[in-house]
Amino acid sequence: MQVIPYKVRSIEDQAEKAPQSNQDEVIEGLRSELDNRSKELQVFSHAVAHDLQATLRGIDGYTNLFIRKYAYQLDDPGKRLLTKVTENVNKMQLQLQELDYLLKLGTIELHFSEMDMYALTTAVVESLQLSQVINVTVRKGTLVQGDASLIKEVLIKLISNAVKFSPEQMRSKIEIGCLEHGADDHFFVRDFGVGFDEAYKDVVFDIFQRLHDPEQYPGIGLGLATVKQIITRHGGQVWATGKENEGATFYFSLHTTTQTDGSS
Amino acid sequence: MDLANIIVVDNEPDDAELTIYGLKETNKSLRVMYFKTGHDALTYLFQETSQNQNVLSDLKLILLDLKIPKIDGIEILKRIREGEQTQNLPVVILTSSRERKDVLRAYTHGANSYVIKPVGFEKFVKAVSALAHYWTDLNVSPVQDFRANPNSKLH
Repeated sequence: MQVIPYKVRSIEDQAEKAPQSNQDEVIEGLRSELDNRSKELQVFSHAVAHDLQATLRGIDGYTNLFIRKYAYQLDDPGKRLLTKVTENVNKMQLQLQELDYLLKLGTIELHFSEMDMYALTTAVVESLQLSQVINVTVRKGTLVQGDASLIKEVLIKLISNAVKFSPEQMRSKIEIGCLEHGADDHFFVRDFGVGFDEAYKDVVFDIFQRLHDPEQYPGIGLGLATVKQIITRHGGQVWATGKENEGATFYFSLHTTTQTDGSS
Repeated sequence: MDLANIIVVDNEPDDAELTIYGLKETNKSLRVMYFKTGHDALTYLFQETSQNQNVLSDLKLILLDLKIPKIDGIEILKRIREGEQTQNLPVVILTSSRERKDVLRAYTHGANSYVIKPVGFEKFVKAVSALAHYWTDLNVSPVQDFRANPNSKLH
């Protein structure tokens, strides 16, 4: 198992493009910039995790104390208004937790190993109790380089979305497959559910981007952003295709060769 | 003077008020003392100790936040563990921090427990009530036992 320091690979990619004489300088400059960005993110992440959550706790706490002590004086519409406050607090708490995690994903060390994507995918499908439902067409022995726990998370999020956005009778058509593409493998999760307007295919992985009614399809709006962050950290790409009421396919690419970690 | 059963150290008065509410959900007769700064908390624990040896005898728990300005929670914990009279006081870290490094630091410096403050009020009250019940009803405080009879063996 090999630990890849934060963003080293992309620094080395940029340095490779610089003139030979400047490469060390470029690398040093980029490292310094990344260190500064990393520190800024940590400060922001701490604020999100700690300070904002403390404020939320205050809002929820005092609202509930008010309900406990004075609810008997309120009519039902009044009580409903206060209940809405606590519901929104709970929602915001989840958003902050997910956002904090998304921020941390940008800086945590990756633990790379060779993974059999067929084995990983079937294990995930089984853990979600969908073995009898979903089709895994990834070829056995499809090996990639990656952090297994994070790629597992990618699969869980994409598969869960496919199930969520498919009517029950269409779930058996959900497919997880792979298209071999040279040094990369392009994995996909395909469903035949509600789909989305492909005009939005460039924003579907953005933070808090919701293309469907949240009351009908509940969620925080960070799942695909998390998928994108993880795959980007692996040097891969994400993209999606879809058609309203006909389904969607979400793709991610991973490197298949050991050249991704700098070793031969 | 009524001596504290529980000390709460937290620089956020709102959090402290909700904590005290939760503690008293379990037992309204609990005597809870609140300190906003590490300096005030340590002053109570150490200076009071020298004037009145029994000030710690009723103390069953210290609930300690981590992110306290000037003297932070870990520093307060370290000084508690260094004091001859205070080194065995039960200290539970009650914090918003989920950082692994904070968890490790707390236990390394002698925290008895590490509890992450839930955001939701009901869960928060439940968590704090559970702490109060365990540490004041179930647990035998080593300080209290020592004070009662320094030479006795614990049963």
